[in-house]
Amino acid sequence: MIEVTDVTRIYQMGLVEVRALQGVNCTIESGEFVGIMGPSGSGKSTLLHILGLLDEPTAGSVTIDGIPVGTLNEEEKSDFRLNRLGYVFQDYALVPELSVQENVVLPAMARGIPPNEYLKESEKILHEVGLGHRIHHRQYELSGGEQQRVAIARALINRPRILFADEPCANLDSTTSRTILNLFRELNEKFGQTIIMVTHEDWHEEYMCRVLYMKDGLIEDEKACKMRKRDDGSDNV
Amino acid sequence: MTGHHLSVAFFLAIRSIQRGNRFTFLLTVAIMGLVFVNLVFLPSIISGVVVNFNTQSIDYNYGNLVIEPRENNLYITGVAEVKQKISQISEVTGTSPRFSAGATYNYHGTQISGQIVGLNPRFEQEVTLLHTRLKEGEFLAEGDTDSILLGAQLAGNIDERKDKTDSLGGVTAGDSVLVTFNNGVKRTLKVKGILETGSFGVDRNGFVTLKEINQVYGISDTATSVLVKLSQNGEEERYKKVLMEYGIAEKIRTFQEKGQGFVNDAIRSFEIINAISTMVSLVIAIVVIFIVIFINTINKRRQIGILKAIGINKKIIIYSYIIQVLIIATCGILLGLALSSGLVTYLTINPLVFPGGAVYPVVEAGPVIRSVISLALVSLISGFIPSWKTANEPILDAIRGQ
Repeated sequence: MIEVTDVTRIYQMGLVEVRALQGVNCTIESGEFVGIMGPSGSGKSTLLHILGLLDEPTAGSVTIDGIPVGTLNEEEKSDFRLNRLGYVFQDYALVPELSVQENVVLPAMARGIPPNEYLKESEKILHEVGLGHRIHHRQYELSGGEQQRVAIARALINRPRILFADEPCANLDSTTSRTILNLFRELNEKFGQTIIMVTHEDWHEEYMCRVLYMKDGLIEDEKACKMRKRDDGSDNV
Repeated sequence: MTGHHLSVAFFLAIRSIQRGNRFTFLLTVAIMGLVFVNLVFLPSIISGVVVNFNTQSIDYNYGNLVIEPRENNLYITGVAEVKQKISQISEVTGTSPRFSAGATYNYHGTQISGQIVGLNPRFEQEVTLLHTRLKEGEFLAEGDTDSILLGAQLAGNIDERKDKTDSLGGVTAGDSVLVTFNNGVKRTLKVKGILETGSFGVDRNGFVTLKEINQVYGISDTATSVLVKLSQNGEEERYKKVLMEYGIAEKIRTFQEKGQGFVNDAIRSFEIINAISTMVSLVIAIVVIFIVIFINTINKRRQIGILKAIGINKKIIIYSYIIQVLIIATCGILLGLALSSGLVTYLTINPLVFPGGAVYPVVEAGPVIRSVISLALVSLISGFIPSWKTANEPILDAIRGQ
């Protein structure tokens, strides 16, 4: 569970003070697929970065699974990210010198998992994301959607408690976007994977449990999405 | 740093080199290789000059040790006794008394002043290799009188453009030269041979037998120096003391002490040039490697940010860059060694010609080890600083490339 209490984030841009977050409060339960939406500059990415320990709040606190993450030092945060969090970025952020499988196993290698285990696990995950036939390919041989699925597989290799996705479909066409979103929903439904995703596409809502709407650095509204669309077009409560 | 951190760093480094920009890799390796050559080459030439100088000094000029008259004395008298004392030392393989004096040489109206050296040909062959360096003619025999050996530079060439200094204008074996000794005695001596050692101090002299000198000066058992040859080079200082212990009361000097002068000055100058060249090479290496690694890390700033974001420990990232530069340095050093070997082989076949003779490069372990350590250190610094700087940036700044 994530608890966000009075989180503010103020950037200094030259002489100008930018108040990206102005006292955000929210709670995200384990197993939720939560969307963060809002116009540009509303603070949605800033909130995601703070929840994902990529940035620090100017004030306020974030507690993940009962751990006040603001008290962790840099090394501990790095371990926390490695062991408990997974990330999917807008532009995939793969290491170009590594093959698909090598990209996926990298976080597991960094954890010190034995090679036979992480290789087996990576093959399993790559099959799950539909890239079982692309294991030894390099980034430049993959389409945008395939690259994003590699990024998702990499984010999942350490079986994270929370998966963060920062506009993962921004560079993809709508068909590929649906593939990615279906994958997220499946992970959420089948494995109870907690997912927090920033997006600005309204139609993405149909894949989420709940959406937080942000404006001017605050959560202005939130909506529970009761009906989630299935691949076959049917609705699922 | 745990073992698996190091293995991940190694994995990233290897992949980066294997699949990264080949041109950057090859360029950096080539630069390091050339810097290595620069670090090793000049010292090898200086060592070559020193070895050449030492070899010539021992083989043609002085032997290992030179016994000279005591202070205020012009001559060593009782040479036989001195020889007998020295011959008791088992490591002494030969002694050769010499008598040097000023002389004027006259040939077909050309007059040159120089030194004339009296020696015993049999004893001399136990100490020096003069007898092996005859350009033409024969070496002196023990009983020879009215015969002289001329150094090649003193004898000179008919075509004076080939001469390095003033000469007698092309004396050959069988010619006669008029020699005026510094006591005024004049003798017409038949040139028995022409010596060419490459050593300026030898090739400007004339050589006669001690028997000739004894007749000219009316002396016997007298010398201006006694050359001593040891069974092994490099033990001169120790045997200088041993000779004293054996009752040699005359002044004893090593060949290095005798040779102090312009060659040592030249070597010192070379060493200053070498030190400057080494410094400049290392600074260039630091700057170039630093720039290449810096640009490489700056280009991968976003990637470093991403790696940190997904939880890869920054030590892994820094170590992966350090391992990369160490691999590059190893390749550069190996390339440098190969290039240096090629250059040394070429210069061994086609030696550089210095005033003292042909100089062969001598690669000593010291400069090679120093160069390897310097380049490894330079690489380490050049790899560490930019990667450390980038890996310590805030994650979002690195990802956004701000």
